[in-house]
Amino acid sequence: MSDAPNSIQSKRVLVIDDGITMRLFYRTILNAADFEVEEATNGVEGFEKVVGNSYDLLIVDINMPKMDGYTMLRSIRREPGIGDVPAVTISTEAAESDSRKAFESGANFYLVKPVPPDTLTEVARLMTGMTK
Amino acid sequence: MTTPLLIRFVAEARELLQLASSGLLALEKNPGDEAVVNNVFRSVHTLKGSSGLFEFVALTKLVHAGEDVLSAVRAGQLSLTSELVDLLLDALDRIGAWIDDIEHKGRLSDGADGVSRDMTAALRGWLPALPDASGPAQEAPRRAAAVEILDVDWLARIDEAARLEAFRACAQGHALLAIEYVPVEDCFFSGEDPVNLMRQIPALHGLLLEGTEPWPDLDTLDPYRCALRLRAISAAPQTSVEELFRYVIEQVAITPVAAHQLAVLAGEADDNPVYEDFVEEARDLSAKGDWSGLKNRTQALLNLTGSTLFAASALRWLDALLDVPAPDPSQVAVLIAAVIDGEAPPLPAPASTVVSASGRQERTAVEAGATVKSQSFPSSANPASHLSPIGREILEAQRFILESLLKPEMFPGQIGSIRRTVANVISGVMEKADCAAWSAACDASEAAGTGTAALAELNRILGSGAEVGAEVGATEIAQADASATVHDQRQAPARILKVDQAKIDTLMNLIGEMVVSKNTLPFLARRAENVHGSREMAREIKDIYAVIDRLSQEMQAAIMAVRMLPVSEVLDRFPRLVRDVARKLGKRVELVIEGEDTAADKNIVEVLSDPLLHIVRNSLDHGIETPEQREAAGKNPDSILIIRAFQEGDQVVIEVQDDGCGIDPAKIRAAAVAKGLMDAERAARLSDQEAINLVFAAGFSTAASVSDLSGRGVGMDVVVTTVEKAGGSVALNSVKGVGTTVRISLPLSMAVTRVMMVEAGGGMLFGIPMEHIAETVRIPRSRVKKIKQSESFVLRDTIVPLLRLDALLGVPQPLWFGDADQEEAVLVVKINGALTGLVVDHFREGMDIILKPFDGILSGIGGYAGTALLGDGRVLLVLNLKELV
Amino acid sequence: MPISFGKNSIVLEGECTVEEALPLLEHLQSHPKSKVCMKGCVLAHSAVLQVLIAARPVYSSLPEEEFMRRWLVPALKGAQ
Repeated sequence: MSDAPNSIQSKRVLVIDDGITMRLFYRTILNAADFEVEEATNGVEGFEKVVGNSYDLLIVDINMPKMDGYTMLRSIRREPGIGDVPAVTISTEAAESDSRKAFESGANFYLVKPVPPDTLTEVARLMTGMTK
Repeated sequence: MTTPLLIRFVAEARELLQLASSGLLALEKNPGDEAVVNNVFRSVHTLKGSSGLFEFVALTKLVHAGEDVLSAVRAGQLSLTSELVDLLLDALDRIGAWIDDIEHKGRLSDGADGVSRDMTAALRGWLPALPDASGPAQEAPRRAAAVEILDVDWLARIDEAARLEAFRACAQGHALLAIEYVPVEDCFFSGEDPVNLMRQIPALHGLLLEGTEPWPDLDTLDPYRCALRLRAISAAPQTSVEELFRYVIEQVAITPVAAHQLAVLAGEADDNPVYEDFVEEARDLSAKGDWSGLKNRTQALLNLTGSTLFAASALRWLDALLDVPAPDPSQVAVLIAAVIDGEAPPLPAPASTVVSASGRQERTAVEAGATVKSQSFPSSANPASHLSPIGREILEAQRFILESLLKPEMFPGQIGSIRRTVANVISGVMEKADCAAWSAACDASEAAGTGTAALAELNRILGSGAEVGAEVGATEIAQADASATVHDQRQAPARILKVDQAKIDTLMNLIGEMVVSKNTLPFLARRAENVHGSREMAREIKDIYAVIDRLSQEMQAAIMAVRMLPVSEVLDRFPRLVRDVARKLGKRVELVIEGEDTAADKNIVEVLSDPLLHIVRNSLDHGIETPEQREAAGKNPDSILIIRAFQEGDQVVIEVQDDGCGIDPAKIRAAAVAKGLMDAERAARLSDQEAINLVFAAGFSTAASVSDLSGRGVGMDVVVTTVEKAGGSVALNSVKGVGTTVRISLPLSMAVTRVMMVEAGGGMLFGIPMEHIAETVRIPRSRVKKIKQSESFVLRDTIVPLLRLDALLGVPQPLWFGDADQEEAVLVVKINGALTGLVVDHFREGMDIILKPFDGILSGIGGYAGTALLGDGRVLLVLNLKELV
Repeated sequence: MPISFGKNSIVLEGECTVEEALPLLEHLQSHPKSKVCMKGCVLAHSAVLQVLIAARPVYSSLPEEEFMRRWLVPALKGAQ
């Protein structure tokens, strides 16, 4: 548990999204803000990556093949040792805009597509404690 | 083709389109394959998400429509016919062609918007009618509106005095909103007055009125084509701004503005040695945190400086910035430097949420800020005041989770992630002590296995930030709720107790049973008298019955009152709907709603919703004429549509009245003949009212073409069926050329039905709803006229057909030995506006009952409305005369 | 009539509705040198304002009503 945020080391963000364009979008935005970005293309892969690594933030798409974002988050939150990683879900307005469902599944925040780049950057910075 | 993102998008889109098309073809052969449906849906869904990153609106809209259709297919609301597959494939082809355009030209081909609109409409036509389908206008969700404008450069064009005012309002804790409204070109025709709508924006702090394009030559200007772009700053809560713009919300973008974005300096450059002295002194005061000293110096210099100078502008902003007790040191530093530099970089965001670059300067500022803060505010009286709006939203989200969304099986993970999130958000903004307190609270929560301690601490962190004023808290919460990125559903006013509807229903059932049970007492009284011979006992029982009767009636009324809703619940959507539909049809309609406070039982109000929608759409579609037709007919081009609700006895009545073309009985007759409902001779014999009533007949529609607005092939018959199922009735009055009024009457409550009991079939008891009974008569057998197989009798000069309940129910009829004086007990009932006599064995008393509809295998039996339990334990069958006669 | 047309002047008074936009435009087209007096105008429909903004006439007086004076005058004068 790291209460004291470390702002010197760059922060690692895992983007879990089945859309290749969306992943590139997140990567571009977050790289520009000095984040280290890794990608997973579905919930299963995302879960495996989280188990084997230590991330500062997860950016989670909801509708994905194999395992959706909600299920993946619930599995992560139940996993001892790694369950405390902060997570943001990103959903499309019409289908999955229920913030409650995101929070109940273990998300800490949620954004609605299309996410303005500045908003994404600020949320990522705040949630990882990256001051600059 | 420019950006790597676009290249990636084109490649991905092709792949997704391919997946979707092959999936669709597979589905056509095997429609039930859920996995394939999911894959197709997900391909289109992903494509929509990606396309939203670019400005290809026509494409995104079409993909969105496809997604909605597939979503309905996935949910089982829509079956995938080959016709629909064709349409979807066409749409995918169209999208593929656009992707080619994007690759080659970087944009969509000309006319894409029109193509998209038509195909989108075609796809959406397949969607099951939404309860609130007000057409494609809804497509742009309100929430998205808030994130659309990122560009607020125009703020600088608002005059400085107004911006300063707004800046000060913000410093006092009012969140600011930037509002951009680009009305549709033909808005003047639908009665919009955009400028004067802006006039009504509460807490207006700036307004820009510009053309959407350069103004044409005066000779070619079209005065009735709106080409205005309106922009404003307001310090009002987002909800009230959205409320104001609710009818044009899709044309409005609202976005929060941070105070520092307003500070754009301008003025003439000059060079005055006094600036140097000021800057030196100001930096000194700033380092010491002597803000009031700095403010005095600033104002003093401002008085000496020409107001049009750049330096004056910088000083004015500095003065405004110093209004708060603890200004942001980095911002102060920028403004001080601007006085002498004669230019200024954009004002940085407050130190805690810095987004922009220019590192060195800001870092110094943060350090200086930290020192100063600990000197002037040792006890961190105001810990959260430096949070950015998004930071605050993130904390609010954590509070929401802690309050009600923790799950036992995920508790360690959830509390851990909340701990990290909050610690990260507050780090650098708050005192070390606050961070330590948060950490301690989390330790306590983790040990206890509940969120209580963490929640209390988070409330303190957030709550203390709201100390600036109660109003601020409300504004900020309202804003957080309504803003682009997050919203939690905690808007219920505090004093209202929310009760699960099931609990009220249980109460309702219980009191219903009690009303029925109390009916046992009169039976008991009779027994006491007849069987046990105790008249006194009988009287006492009757006295007690009277008391219980009164109490239970009051109690029933009280519980029903809980379930009462104003009809405005269903009427509220009509202003928007009428406006949208009328605009779509090119008609001009003024909607008048009367009596929206009229209350009725929740179930009744809900029942009203769909029929009303249908009637209103019918009026708009077929009743009300276009302005040209109206003018040609010598009418006001603006038509009036009135929805009127009122209570009449124990009924709630809703009337929909239009002043449109009315129904032409001759046309109805012709249509009835054409549709083979009756022959010409019989049609000619119909009275005008009878002819008009034919529109209620199943499958009857006079519209030349069924438009997508009034529902696909669903006629007035559905309205009638729905309303009658709830125990109501529909009446229609129409005068050709003058207008149509549809009147729906429903009981105020569905819970208790008053029936009259009759005996038939040799001692069997039946209930007949009182609302159908016109009167009871006894007529001698000799007055019954028999024509062929049917019987009738004359009631006050009217021939009334006579039916025998026994025969209708198929129970054996008692033999008649030809005694002409023997009387028949005839219940005269009114069904569909016509009188019918119903012969029964005996009349019995009237009674309030709780009607239980048949369920299970009995539900298929026609002719019965349901059953009710009688006081003596017997079951009463209640008849549905409409099905029976 | 909230708008009256003189030989070389146009006077807007009281509340100018959407119906006034067309006659106003026509007058400005045929008499481009007309001076516009708005002193007594307290409310003008967007369509009327749009004509004025597009035409940029010379004003002999500006509206005194608070909202118009504060927020609409810059647009009328073409300052934005």
